[in-house]
Amino acid sequence: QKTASPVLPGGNSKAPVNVDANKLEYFDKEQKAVYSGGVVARQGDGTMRATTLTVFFDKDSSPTGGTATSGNQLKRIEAAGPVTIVEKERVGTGDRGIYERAENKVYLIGNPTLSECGNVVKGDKDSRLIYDLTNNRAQISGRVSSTFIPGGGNCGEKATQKPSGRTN
Amino acid sequence: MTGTALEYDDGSRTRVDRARAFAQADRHSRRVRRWRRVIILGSSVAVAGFVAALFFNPFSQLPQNVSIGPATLNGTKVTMELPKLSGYRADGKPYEVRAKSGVQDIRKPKVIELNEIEARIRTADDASVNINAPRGIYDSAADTMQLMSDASDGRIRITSSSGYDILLKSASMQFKEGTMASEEPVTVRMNNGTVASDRLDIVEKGTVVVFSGNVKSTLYPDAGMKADDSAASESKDGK
Repeated sequence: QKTASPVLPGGNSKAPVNVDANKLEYFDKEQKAVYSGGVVARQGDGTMRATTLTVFFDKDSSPTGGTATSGNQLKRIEAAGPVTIVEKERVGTGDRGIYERAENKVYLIGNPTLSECGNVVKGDKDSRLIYDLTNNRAQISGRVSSTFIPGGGNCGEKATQKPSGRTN
Repeated sequence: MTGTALEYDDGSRTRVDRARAFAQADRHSRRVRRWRRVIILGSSVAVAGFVAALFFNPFSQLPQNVSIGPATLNGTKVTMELPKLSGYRADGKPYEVRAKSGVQDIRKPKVIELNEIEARIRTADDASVNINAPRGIYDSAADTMQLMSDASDGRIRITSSSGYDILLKSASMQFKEGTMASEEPVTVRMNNGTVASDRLDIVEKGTVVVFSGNVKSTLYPDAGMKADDSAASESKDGK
């Protein structure tokens, strides 16, 4: 199911993910890379900020073990320290973040907030903000409290767009 | 040589004493001549021996794990063709360093300057790391190597069978611990992505690569994406 889809909400699937940080440790054996110190990950219009970001690759099972740029794929990303995801007008925050390539979703876990055009939806420590990357929708599961600002807040030119955050 | 006391009276006795003293002096000077010859002869033999030892076995000072091709000696500099140095790290993993030529100063035999270096290191998890560098200085006492590349684009290259490919301007390697450090900007291709940073360290016997300072990396989520089209996708990023 190699559907090409973005890694970050708001990202475009073709673009690579650019990750900048103060430090990066690459663990060859465990096939993981740990970014730390003011981590900023960008793809297309999506930007994720965190204190640490751990990227897990899954060793391509090709028998030849692969050449220098063997096809070990990005499998999963874990972000720690307050995580914020910003794409155009939508901003999501949470204590921790997880990107699961197989599920094609990004989760912000622990006191998530989703705000768009001035409208803010908040969850408690057990709830999650779930970004579905295939249709770029975001929603918070679990107990939420919402504040809506009549008149669409400060979305500027796109005042008519309804906030897509849904409570369930 | 009896200790005859000389009496000071003239006449026959003094002539005898004078003859005896003369004989003594003669014997003494003959002995001196003999000793002079022995000393001169002895020292020349010693010098010859030293030169011979130096010339025929100049490398007794080199680390034992060295094999070399033809060597030429000019002044105090020995130039070796195709030197090969090998050894084992503390954890028993082998390393080997080859070069097209090596220059060594007899007065400092522990230090060898190498040209066109190829080094191979087995990491702790049995990946093999290859290092190519235009020039380097190997210090066999400390088992370290300084790699240098005058070309501006940094022609030191380190590749690992497990997936990283590093371009460097300079690096210093400690073979015993299997670590390496480069204080100059570095670019690395790894898994399917590239990383650039101000400094690089390879530690844990080659299994951990640490980039520090201004880390900028590009990751390609799909193996299919090629590094070269990154510029293209960046430029037309805006919708």
